[in-house]
Amino acid sequence: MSWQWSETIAWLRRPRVVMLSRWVLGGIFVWACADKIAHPEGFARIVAEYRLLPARLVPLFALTLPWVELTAALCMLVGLFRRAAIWLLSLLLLVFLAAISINVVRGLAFSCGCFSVSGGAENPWLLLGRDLLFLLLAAHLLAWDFSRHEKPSRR
Amino acid sequence: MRVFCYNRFMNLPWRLAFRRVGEMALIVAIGGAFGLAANRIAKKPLPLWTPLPDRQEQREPLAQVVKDLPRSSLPTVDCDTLRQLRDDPSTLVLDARLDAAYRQGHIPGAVSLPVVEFFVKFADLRARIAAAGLVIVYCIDPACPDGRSLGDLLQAQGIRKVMLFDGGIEEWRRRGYELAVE
Repeated sequence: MSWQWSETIAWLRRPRVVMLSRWVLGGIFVWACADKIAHPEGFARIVAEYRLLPARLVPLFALTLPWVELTAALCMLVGLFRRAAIWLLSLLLLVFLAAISINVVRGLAFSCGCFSVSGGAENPWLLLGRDLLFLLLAAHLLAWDFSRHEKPSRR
Repeated sequence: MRVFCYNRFMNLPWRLAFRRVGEMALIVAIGGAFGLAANRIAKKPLPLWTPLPDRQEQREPLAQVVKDLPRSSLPTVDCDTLRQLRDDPSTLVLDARLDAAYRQGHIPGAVSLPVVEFFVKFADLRARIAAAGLVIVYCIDPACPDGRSLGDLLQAQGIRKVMLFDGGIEEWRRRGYELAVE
């Protein structure tokens, strides 16, 4: 059994697998922010429906979040501040998970606004499952995506 | 002693953590700046520190449009008749309330067409409404004007066979009939 685990971990550590994870996660975030950037008012209404932020902060949040996602995703893909970008995207995923979970507990039907601002109410459990998968990708990168200069040295 | 403490501090992972936090803050600042710049050059910029206008405030211009419409006759239908007519596949029931209210509970089979979003959503539903043999609209209760407004708007668009369920969702609920939840 331990032999299979080490094989799995060795496979996960392969540079090509890490690169694939990076491109998938980066691509997901670039795709996710496109509609939100194109329709800021629609996204602002969705953020307002979450009822988690003060009303005055909703427009600022709705205007900046998609661009922050885009910037972080591009930074991760081109290798500029890569580790910080991965940490930031992981934090964003945790925030999204928390926001969805709070509204699941409240029993609200809401539109996620994750990939589109025009969708209706979505199954919150599917949303949670999807975000957990993305978080696993991010965890994979956090564990094994180091650039040559950032690799932790063994002392 | 000072050199000792300095060396111990700089060797800790804290330095790396501070660096990461600084880089993350830089990414957030750059992204935020892009977002604000994009809003500034947009055709319809979103006001920054102003809460989004409430749906109630958006209703006022629409109320003017509805007031100017010729008041054609809008027959009403009671709850029992609605239940019978609903079973006919050519009958279409429209909910004039806001989307959030619709999702929390509506007459089974009803389609959401909030009167405040009429000019946005009617285009998508036009074919389905035109194909219906009978359209029944409803709102919250007899005091709510949105059902009648929606009926008048539909008639103005050439949809003749429109009726109003005057009692609204409150009467449906009071009678103990099932509600559909999205």
